[in-house]
Formats: sequence, structure tokens, C-alpha cells
Amino acid sequence: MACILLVDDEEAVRYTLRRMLERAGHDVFEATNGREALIALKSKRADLVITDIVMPVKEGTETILELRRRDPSLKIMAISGGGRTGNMDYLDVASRFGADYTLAKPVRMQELLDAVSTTLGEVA
Amino acid sequence: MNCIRGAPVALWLQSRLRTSVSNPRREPEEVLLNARPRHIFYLAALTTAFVFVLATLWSYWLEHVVGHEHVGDALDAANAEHWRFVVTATLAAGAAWAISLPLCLTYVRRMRRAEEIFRHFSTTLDQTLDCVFMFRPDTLRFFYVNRGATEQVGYGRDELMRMTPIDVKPEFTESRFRALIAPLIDGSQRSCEFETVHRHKDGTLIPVEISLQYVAPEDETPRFVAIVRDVTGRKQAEEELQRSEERFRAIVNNSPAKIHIKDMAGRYLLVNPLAEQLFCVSEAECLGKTSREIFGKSQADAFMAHDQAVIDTGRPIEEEETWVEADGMHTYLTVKFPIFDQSGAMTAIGAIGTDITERKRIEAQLRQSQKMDSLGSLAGGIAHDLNNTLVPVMGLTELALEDLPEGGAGRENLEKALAGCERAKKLVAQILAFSRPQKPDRTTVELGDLIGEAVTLLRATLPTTIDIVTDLDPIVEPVLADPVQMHQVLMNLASNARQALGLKPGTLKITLRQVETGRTRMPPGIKLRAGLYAKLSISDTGPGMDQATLERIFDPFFTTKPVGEGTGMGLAVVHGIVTSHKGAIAVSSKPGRGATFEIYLPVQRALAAASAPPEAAE
Repeated sequence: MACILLVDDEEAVRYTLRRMLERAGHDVFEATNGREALIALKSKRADLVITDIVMPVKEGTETILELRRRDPSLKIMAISGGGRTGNMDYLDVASRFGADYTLAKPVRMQELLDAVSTTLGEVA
Repeated sequence: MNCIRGAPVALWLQSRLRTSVSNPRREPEEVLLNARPRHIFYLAALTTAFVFVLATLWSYWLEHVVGHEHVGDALDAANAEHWRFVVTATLAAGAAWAISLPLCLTYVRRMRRAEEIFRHFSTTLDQTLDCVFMFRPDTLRFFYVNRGATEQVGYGRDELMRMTPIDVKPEFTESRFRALIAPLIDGSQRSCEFETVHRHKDGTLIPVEISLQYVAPEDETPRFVAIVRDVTGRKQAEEELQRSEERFRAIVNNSPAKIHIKDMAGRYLLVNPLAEQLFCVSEAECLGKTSREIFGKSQADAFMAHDQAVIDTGRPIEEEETWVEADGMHTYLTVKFPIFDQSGAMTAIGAIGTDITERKRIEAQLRQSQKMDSLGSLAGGIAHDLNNTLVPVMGLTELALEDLPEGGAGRENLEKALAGCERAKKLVAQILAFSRPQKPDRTTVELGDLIGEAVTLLRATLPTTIDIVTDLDPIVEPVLADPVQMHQVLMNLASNARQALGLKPGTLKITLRQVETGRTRMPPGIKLRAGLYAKLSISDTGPGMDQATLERIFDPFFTTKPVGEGTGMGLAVVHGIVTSHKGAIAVSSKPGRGATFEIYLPVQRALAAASAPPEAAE
């Protein structure tokens, strides 16, 4: 089972996704924005980072860039409720910035777990 | 002797006066001009002196010539006779003179008065700006002209006395002129007014207005009096007015606006060709009639209310007027304005109407696109928040459902909650699709094939009461499109038709044709670049839509379905997709007559031709 860092500014979202991931046996720890995520990763290693895009303090795409720069092998999954920057979709931007997988909110449990498996390269 | 004594003096004077007056070659006016009363007075005195001298000479002749031939004693008698004669003759002459003197003085006074009157008339006539010509009916020769006349034609008085009216009227021949004056001579006409030109001595032509009268007083020579007025100024003013009128007419007749003028009673005074075309009546039919006699009552009342507003305020007003024309409803922006005369009184109401249908359409489009844009941004924001809110609602419901045993109490409720979440998720996805006209994944799409696939799916999902008919022209060229989005377009339109048909039996018809702009009549409001287009029509036999619905049909969140059943996003998404493919969509429908959506998509060849730079032939 993987160790997953869940980054989202909304407590209810973190709570829900955490329950889903934990039910599948993953070890989950949380951060409420990009800066907290970077700090948390200094003390604890994660196999996968699942990050929201629109967040205060340090938003998702910037966080992905930073994470990718620090650890090119880190698996990153972007998750967003939609919206856009200019003509680009957030998730589109996220994948260009280095996200291995993107997922649109709201997400069904099976969908999320399948995505996690795929990103981690596990055989589903 | 008696005849010699005295008679010749009076006789001579009389005859001289008589001769002067009765001389047909010399005019009385001329005599008056030349006669000097003082001269006549001198003449009378001189004549008396002359008679005295003559008598003296005759007595001398008797005394010295005749006397010698007679006997000497007869001399005294002859001498006495001689002196008697001299005295008698002188007395006779004096008497004759004394008798004729009062007559002479009376005559002189008359002459002087006549001369005064004549001089008065002559001066007055000379001071008159009009030109006075007088001529004889027989010879047509001028015998009097005033100073104005000499100045007008540039000839001196003496020159004119040898001329006739024909010499200064190049438009007339003698026969024509005589024909003109004939009715005046025979009395069938009292005067004659006409316009012609006078030729000045230097050749200049002067437009004139002539009033001609035949004057034939008793005992006097008949004559023609012509009062001639130079109308150059008036002619110039008339020509200027004419030119101004022509310019005004040219502007009015070629104006792209409808123009008309009504009098204060609302009767048409002027209607330009465009207005004739719009009113469907000729100007001749319109003139003198009111709007009520030309249009329907409600239309006429609206027009007349606008006119009344101008009359009441005395100021121009702007009104939008609508007209139904062959190609549909047109809107005119009409400016109505008062027309005043020189005294400042309102005499008429003018109207200039410009067709602003196209402008209104573009404005509406602009408003629509601005609305779409702002709604798009708004929708994006809402969608984001909704999705985030849905995460715990949906996720935790799912988790709760997992925790409940199969068939456990409350499971059904949670399943329904989850289904509701799914619907909400789809709605938000649609809002996002609208707010985010993402770049479609363009590829060559055979619309015929795509429709075929869609129909297969539709047959499986639509109720059997709906008959699906396709009419696909195989010559339609492929388009460059996002197949997924095209599929969505078809599905959304089909779903719309299904909802329109409800549970009643009906037909859903899908037609595919290839059309070319310019050759095929496009629905109103469709503006496309010239070229080849695939035209995809989807029509249903449902209840149709009214105009108000049609106008808002592509608005996001606009739905005619009961709350909770429709998202109002389906057709907005279709509109967004079609537009992003450089295509256009139109809808036509009438209540009770079904609805037809027409989608125009540029064929790939046309797109390539439009984007490829011109290459040199190899």
C-alpha cells in the first residue's frame, strides 16, 4: 500500500478522499496548500501526491512544478473542480506542468482508486 | 384790296397752326415738344410789323412808280388813297392781331399746360424702371420709347424710331408677332402678357415679361403700348429654385432612408421611392391621404401619435417603427421633425426613417455574446465550487452505502442521493463545457457516418413512439471537427426533440446536405464566410415554439421544462460547439408546427482553402 500526501484547502474534500483512500489501505497524510505540502514532504516521504489546483497561499500548478523540480520520480496526481486560466483548463495545465494523472471532482471511489493504481504503476 | 388788307396775316397764322397740328408725319407730341409759346407771340408781333412795312412799300410804289404813269392831279388823290390804305391796312392788321392775340394766348396757355403734362409724363415714364415702348399697329415702328427702354436694348431713341419690336425680339418673326397682336386689334382680347427675350445691341439676351395693350382713342392714331419688365433676376431666382428643387429631389429619391412629409392634417405631401416601396403604394396614391387611409388602424394610430408628439412639442423626435416586409420584421429608426415657414409657423411634419434591422441584430448578437461570456465566467466559478461541494456529498454517500449491508434499511435512500449527485455532476460538467469552449480535438469527420452511429444509439434510447428518419446526401464532404463534440451536438438536439415530442407519437428527422453560401438561401441571422458547408438539420413534429422562446433558445439556463427536469444548458452547449467550429446554427419553429434546427459546418476543403496561403503553381 502506498503512502499518499493529500493536498486540498477544503477540509470536507480531504476528509472524503482520505476515507476512500484509507479504505483501500493507503496511508494518507494531509496538507491544506502547496507550501504546507512542500514542508510536510521534508519530514515524510510520499509515493504519491494528490493535489488540488485552486488553493490559497501556494496553488496547485506551482506546487507541481516545485515538486517535479525536487523529485522527478515522484508520482503526482492533480484533482480539480474545474475552471480555467485563460483559455486553458486547470487540469490541462497541471498535466503540462508535470502531473502524471488528472482527475475531475467530484470523483467516485472506484474511479479514484483506479487512478491511484494507474499512477503508481500497479496492476489494477 | 380787302383781301390784301389784313387777311393774309390771320390766314397765315391760322394755316400755319392748322398745318402743324394736322400734319400726319409730325406727331402732336413732337409738336408739343418743339412748340415754344413765346415764339408764337413774337411771330404775331413780327407779322404786324411786316404788314406795316409791306403796306408802306406798296404806297411808295403807288406814289413813285404808278404815280408817274398817271396824270399830275390824280397824284394827290392817289396819295390820299395811299395813306388811307396804309392806315387801313395797319389798323386791319392791328385789329386782326388784337383779335387773334387772346386766341393766341389761350392757345399758348393750353400748349404750355399740354407741354407741362407731357413733360410730367415723360419724366415719370423715364424714371420708371419698366420699359415703355409704343409702336404703330400698321408699320410696327416705334414712335415712343422711354429711357428705360433705350437702356434695356442699348439703342438710342433715334435708332429705335427706325426699328420695330421684331428687331429686338429674336424669338419672333413678323408674321408671328402680327398673329400675336391681331386679337388685340380686333378687340377679342384686351391685353396680352407674354414672356420672351430682348436682344441688346451688343447681342446679350435679356429675359423679359411683356404686357401689351392696344390703345385706340377716338380721333387719334391707334397705337400699341408695351410695358416691358426685365425678369433676369426673377429668372435667375426661378432657375436657382429649380436647381435647388432638383438637388432636393435627387437627395430624397436616392436616399437609403424612407422620407416623407405630411401636412398638419396628416396628409402626405411627399413620399420618396423607398417609402413608396415600403408602403406598397405609389407616391401619387399616397399624396393627399392620411396614414389611416393607407395603413391598418393600429399602425396608422401609432404613426399619427408620433406626428402629434412633434406638433405638440415643436421639436424633432426619434421613434423606432416596425414593419413587416417580405423577408420578415424590419425596424426603422425614424426621426420626425417639424417644418416651419418664414413666419415661424409649423406647416408640415417631415420624417426620415433608417432601416436599423441589421444594427439591431448585431447589437442583439453582441449583447448575447457578452452575456454568454459573462455567464461563462460565472458558470466556471459556480461549477468549481459545486464540484468541490459535491465531493463530500457524493463520496461520503458512497462510503455510507458501502458500510450498509445489502438490502439494509436506508440503502435505497442513499442510492437515490447518489443518483442525484450523479445528475448534479453531469449538470456541472455541462456548465463547464459551456464556460470552457475548449479547443476541440479536430479531425476529419464524415458526418454521415457520425449520424449513423448516433442514430443507432438514439434508437436504443428513444421511446418507440418516436420514428427516426434520416435523409443523408452521400456527396456531403467531410468536415474538420471534434467527433466527440459533434456527437454531443447530435445527442443534445435529439434529446431536445424527444422532450418536445414527449410521449406522443412523432418523427425525428435528420437531414444532411451540402450547400454553398450565395447559392442557397440562408436563414435570417446566419452570417457565414462564403464557401461550402455541410448542413445538418434535425427536425421534430413536436408542439413547436413561439417567438419569445425562439429568441432565448440558446441562452444558458433557459429552459421551458419544469424545474428540476432540464438544465437549460443543452442547446447553449450545442451553440458553443458549433460556433467554435466556425459554423452557425439556426432554429425555426412555429407553435403547432414542430421545430427545425439547422447546423452549418464548413467542409474541410473549404476550411483548407480559406486558411492556406496562395501558393505559386508548380
